Parts: sequence; C-alpha cells; structure tokens
Amino acid sequence: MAHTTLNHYLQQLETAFKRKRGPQAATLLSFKDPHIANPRLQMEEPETQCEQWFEPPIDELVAAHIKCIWCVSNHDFAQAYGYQSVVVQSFIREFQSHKEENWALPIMYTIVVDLRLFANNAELQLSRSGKGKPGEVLEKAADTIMACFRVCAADNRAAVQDSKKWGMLYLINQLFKIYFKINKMHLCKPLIRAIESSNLKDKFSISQLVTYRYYVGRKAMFDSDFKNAETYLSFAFVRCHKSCKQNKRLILMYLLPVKMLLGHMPRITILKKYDLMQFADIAKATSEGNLRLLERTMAEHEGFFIKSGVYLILEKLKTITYRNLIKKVFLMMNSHIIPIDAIMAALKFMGQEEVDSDEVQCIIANLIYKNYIKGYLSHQHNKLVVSKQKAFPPLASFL
Amino acid sequence: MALKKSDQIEGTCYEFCPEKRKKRLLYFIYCLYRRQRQRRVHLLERREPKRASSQRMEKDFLMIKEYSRPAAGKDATDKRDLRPPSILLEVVEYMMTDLATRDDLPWSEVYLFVFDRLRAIRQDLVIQRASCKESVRILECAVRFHIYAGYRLCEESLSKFEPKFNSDHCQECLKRLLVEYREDGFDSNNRAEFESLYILYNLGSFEVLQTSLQLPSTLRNHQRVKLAYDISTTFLEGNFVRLRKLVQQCDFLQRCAIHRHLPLIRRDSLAILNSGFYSKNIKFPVEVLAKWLFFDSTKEACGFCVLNGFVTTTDGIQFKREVPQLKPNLWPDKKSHQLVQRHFEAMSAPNVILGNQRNEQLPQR
Repeated sequence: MAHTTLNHYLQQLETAFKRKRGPQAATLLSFKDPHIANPRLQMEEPETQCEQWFEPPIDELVAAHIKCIWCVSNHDFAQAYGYQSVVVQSFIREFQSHKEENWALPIMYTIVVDLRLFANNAELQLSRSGKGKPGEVLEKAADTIMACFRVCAADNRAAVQDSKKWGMLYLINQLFKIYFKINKMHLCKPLIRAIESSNLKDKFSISQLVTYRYYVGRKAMFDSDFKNAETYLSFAFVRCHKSCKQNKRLILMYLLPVKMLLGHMPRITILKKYDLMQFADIAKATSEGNLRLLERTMAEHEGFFIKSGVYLILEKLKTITYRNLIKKVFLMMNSHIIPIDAIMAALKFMGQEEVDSDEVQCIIANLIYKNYIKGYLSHQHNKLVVSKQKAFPPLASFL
Repeated sequence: MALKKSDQIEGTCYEFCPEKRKKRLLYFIYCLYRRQRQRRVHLLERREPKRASSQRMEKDFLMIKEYSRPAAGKDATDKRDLRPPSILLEVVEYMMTDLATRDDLPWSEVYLFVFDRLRAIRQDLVIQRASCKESVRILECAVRFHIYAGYRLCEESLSKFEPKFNSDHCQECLKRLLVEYREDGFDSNNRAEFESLYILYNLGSFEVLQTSLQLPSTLRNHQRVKLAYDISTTFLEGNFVRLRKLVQQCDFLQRCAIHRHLPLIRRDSLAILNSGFYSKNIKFPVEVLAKWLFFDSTKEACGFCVLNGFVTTTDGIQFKREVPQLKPNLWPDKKSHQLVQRHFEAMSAPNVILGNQRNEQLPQR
C-alpha cells in the first residue's frame, strides 16, 4: 500500500467507487491508512491524472485528497485543512446525486473526521504564529459538516436501510466535539432536536449513542438541568464498553459532580478504580457539611477541576454542604426553632469568619427557596423555624 | 483567516475627516444655509457656534468622519479615506475630552454623536485589520464610554437612548478587546480592569465565568478579577447580602456595569425572600429589604413590592405562600444612589472614559 504508483492507487479507488464499496473507498481516502506515507502520492498538481480516471466531482475530490497528502508531508496543516474542505464539499455534491442509496456513508465518516482533525491542527499552528481569530477554522469546519448533515437529514424518500439518515448521529457527534471546543454549546440545541424527533433515535449503534449521550449530558450540566444530565451520563457510563477505560473515566468525571449534586456520594472503590481520588474529599466534605474541607479540596485540586471543566459545578456543592451543616445544628439543638446565632457559630467554626446574621439569614432563605429546608425565617426574632415533619427532605426527592 | 502583513492596510488620512467628505459636506453647508435643509453638520462639529453664518470659515469646523453602512459597490478600502490608528486615537481622546463635557446640549445627544463617530473609528480599525497598542487603547475607551453612558442615560426614554443597542455595542467592543489581549498578545496595564468588567457586565454568565477560570493565574488572582468572579458566583448562589458587601469594594465603572443588572438582582432576591421569610403572622420590615436590595428609600422599596403584587403596610411586607408572579424588568430605569449615583458627582466623563482615575478605589462607606 505504501509503495504503489499513483496510477495503481487511482485504479483501486476507481474500482471501489464503481462497485460501490464504501468501506474500501473510505480506507483509500483516510489519513489513518499507510498510503499517505507513500512519496509517489505526495503531489502538488495531480489534476490531470485524476481527470483521466474520474468524472467530476470525484476528480476534484481525489485531486484535493492527494494535494492534502502533499501538504501533510510538508506539515502545512492550514493548507491541508483547506484541501480537505474541498474533499468534503466535492463529496457532498456527489452524495446528493446518489438517489435512494447510502453506500458512500463510510467515506463521509472518514473524510469528516479528518476534516475536524485538520481544523484542530490548523488552529494550533495559527495560534502559535499569532494569526487569525481563535475558533475561526473550527467554525468553518462545522459549517461544512452541517452541509453534509443537511443532505442526510433531508433524505425522506429512501427506504430505511438505504436512507442517508443513518449518517446523522455520527455527524452530530463530530459537530458536538467542535462546538464544545469553541465554547458555542448553544449551537447544539437544533441538532439535539433533530435527533430526538427522528424515528431512528434509538437504533443507531451503541458507540454512537454513548458519544451522543455523553455530550448531551454535559450540555444538560451546563444548563443546570441535573436530573437529565444524570440520566444521559449514566447511560453513557453504563453502556460504554468496559475496555474503553479512558472514555469511562471521562464520562465519570462529569457524572460524579452531577450525582453529588443530587445527593448521591460515590464509593471510594469506584474513585480508586478510575483514578479520580480528587473527588474523594469533595464527597466527604459535602456529606459531612464540612465547608472548610470543601474549600481546601477545591483549592488543592483547582488545576485539575478547572481543566476538566467541572470547577463551577463543584462550587454548587456548597449549597448541599450548607444544608448538611445546618441539619447537624438542628439535630444538636433538638428543637424546631433554631436561633440564627447558633447556625452562625457553626459557620464561623467552619472557617467562614466574616458572616453576619443577615448573611446567614440570606443563605438559609436560599435553601428554603430551593426546597432543601422546609420552614421559614423571622428576621425580627433572628430565628429559623423548621417544619415539624421532614424539615430536611431527602435530596433526591425534590431535585 | 491568517492575518498576513499584506492584509493590513495603513490608512493615509491624517485628518479627523477625509478630504472628499469634508469638501462635500462644506459645500453642503453652503447649500444648506441657502436652502434651509436639515443639518448634516452636527452642532458638535462646530468650533465657534456663535459666529454668524456668512462669516463661517473652514477652520470653524472640526468635522469627524461619520459612520456609514458598508454597501455593495462602495469601496471602503480607499486608503485616502482611512485614518491610521494613531489619528483614530487622537480623535477618541479629543471626543472624550472636549466633546463629552459639552453642556450646551443634552448629554443624550452628545452620546449619539460620539457613538456614531466611535462606530466609524471602529470601522476604520476593522477595515485596516489594525491590531496594535493604539487599537487596544481605543477599544478600552470605547468600552468605558458605553458602560458609563449605559448608567448615565438609564433614565432617558427609549426615543432618546436605547439601552440594548448600547449594550450590544459594548459587548462587541469588549469581545474584540479581549481577543486582542488574549490572542494578539497586547497585554496592557489595564487588562485586569477589563477582564473584571467583562465578568461584571455579564453577571451570572456561566460561560464567561468558565473562560475567566482559564485566564493565567496572575490575572485570575488579581484583586479586580477575583472580586468580579466572586461577585458573579455570589449572584449565582443567590447570596444577595454577600453580594452587597462585595460591591462596596467596586470602583465607579464596575458599579456602572453591575447597575444594569439591578432589576434582575432585585427580582431574584424578592423571590428568595418571599420563600424564606413567608409566614402568616410575621411581616418583613421594608427598611431591611430596602437596604439589602440597594433601594434609596423605603418608599422606593415599597413601590417595587407593590408593583410585584405584594401588600405592604407600616408593619412591613406580607409575603405569600405561592410563588409570586414577578414583573420581568430588563433595563434599569432609575439611577441608584446607593449603588452608583453618590459617586457620580466626583467623576468627570473624560477621567472615567480615558481611564485617568482607574487606580483610585472609592472610599468605603
């Protein structure tokens, strides 16, 4: 493979297209395949030969692919991205002309992944040399992938097994990866709508569904929709194959905070298994109402939490920590009328030296507002009066 | 996408207003006085407004290039029409010193004029793909101008001042400025100021907080940025008492940035107070609510409660069992003495906008 001549390569590709062998064509156009290391395929101007073997637009597609190989051999990823974009756009034109057949889907998957990866590399190259706006290349890649998506989504005529709609979820996952990277998560919404309203929703392959649920789960987290986030991320974690340990760890990194916010603390065994011990003290602090330990752990592993994007979510655990601390005070006082001063003393003991009674009242008012505590405050008497029944409802019951 | 050196144009117009337009406008003025048509030369472009029309000379006018929408067929890249960044900076400094202090016309009109000319300046910068210390300084002044104006004109009617339009442009300038800091490598001494204003202007935005967490640690731990981050997260937690304490440490412009969120802060707080303090027999004291929610008087606080469907008496506010239907109020329509106004008199527009008082903290009260 790595030593064929250009003509031989073109012949193999032409056969694949003529006989509609999607996977074979895809391999011949993939940058994971060894043919890209073949110096005889690193050509700057292959148009003439391509035109001999193929009709438009496939001749453009193949020529662009070869030019891309040439760019990659020169480490010019910005240019490589440009040519890969041409590959995808030519493919779209060809794909649209395939009526009621979807054999070319494997090609689409391959070239789209390569497009995204080149966009990543191009961004890196550009930012190092201080040029261009960050995210610009990725956005353009996303636009191109959207064009593919529209072709797939619009395929209403073909029978289910020949439908291009099967390509939708794969493309959406690629788009998710880009939107998350450039921090434009709101663009995910229409895509999610498209899948949820599709009749193929649960029939896609498991790996695609796991990826999909992972991203939708993360987005739900971002939107503070923790109940749904838990559902999606749990699915992704459970259905992710046990051999993909790295992926499972990644899913867990987001699932853990969500579960903790819903009051479910993780077991140490699972934290050890997936090398996520940073969450151990977080869980301990939260369930004990130990604000001091929570703050200390957040500070200690700040870099890790920020990098994985869960820092802000973990800060929300403060609310549950307050709730657990106040519950302890309640149990100690053994009365459903609790003086604010007692709670203030507990908070000061936990390192919150600057709170005054106004602030404590405010914190408690928030807990009541969010249904963590059943009761009411009296500003004039400086007291909290909790309900005689279920003053501190179990967390999962109302969230 | 790559900003090659060859993409950058350097304008050659060393006047505030390109020749072509000036001559056209001057001719227009003479026609104007003959035909009494609507003025296209703004009052603020006249240096000697009192001189009789027959005696008016070219030097009586200091014209500044207007903003004009890009249109097909119009060549916007003519070098002779483009002012280089150094001139653009001069225009900004002139406008913010001389024009922003003019009192012969309402400030809302000064605002409209400066806004328009500022837009033209930003347009010149974009066409020239300028990215330099002058463009950073210009954008910094633009952001301060918009934030300042957003506060100063909040009580004007919609026909005189459009808060959303002002806010949209402020955000544009902020984003562009932050890109220049973060990507083009123009670290200015003022960066902490503007990173903090970005957070406060977008109070409660998860996305903004997330990006601010990724700033280099020297910046993230800078007093201003830390304060802004704290205020924003405290707002998200609903701890409005702590919010009020933290705000005492803010400087004038930071307070202006927060001011625009006052209706939202008050609305959220009222809902929380209603839940937390609801009791059939106990009423909540209005003076406390007034203090906690930045009202300037108990009367104002009462008015706010009544507007949102609560009954208030001399004993206090009667909260409700059910979740209240609160008025959605997007933009503040009254200056807050407690939050900003009491510091306003000490600030002159040029000092605020050009940043001459940026390092002064306000006395804690």
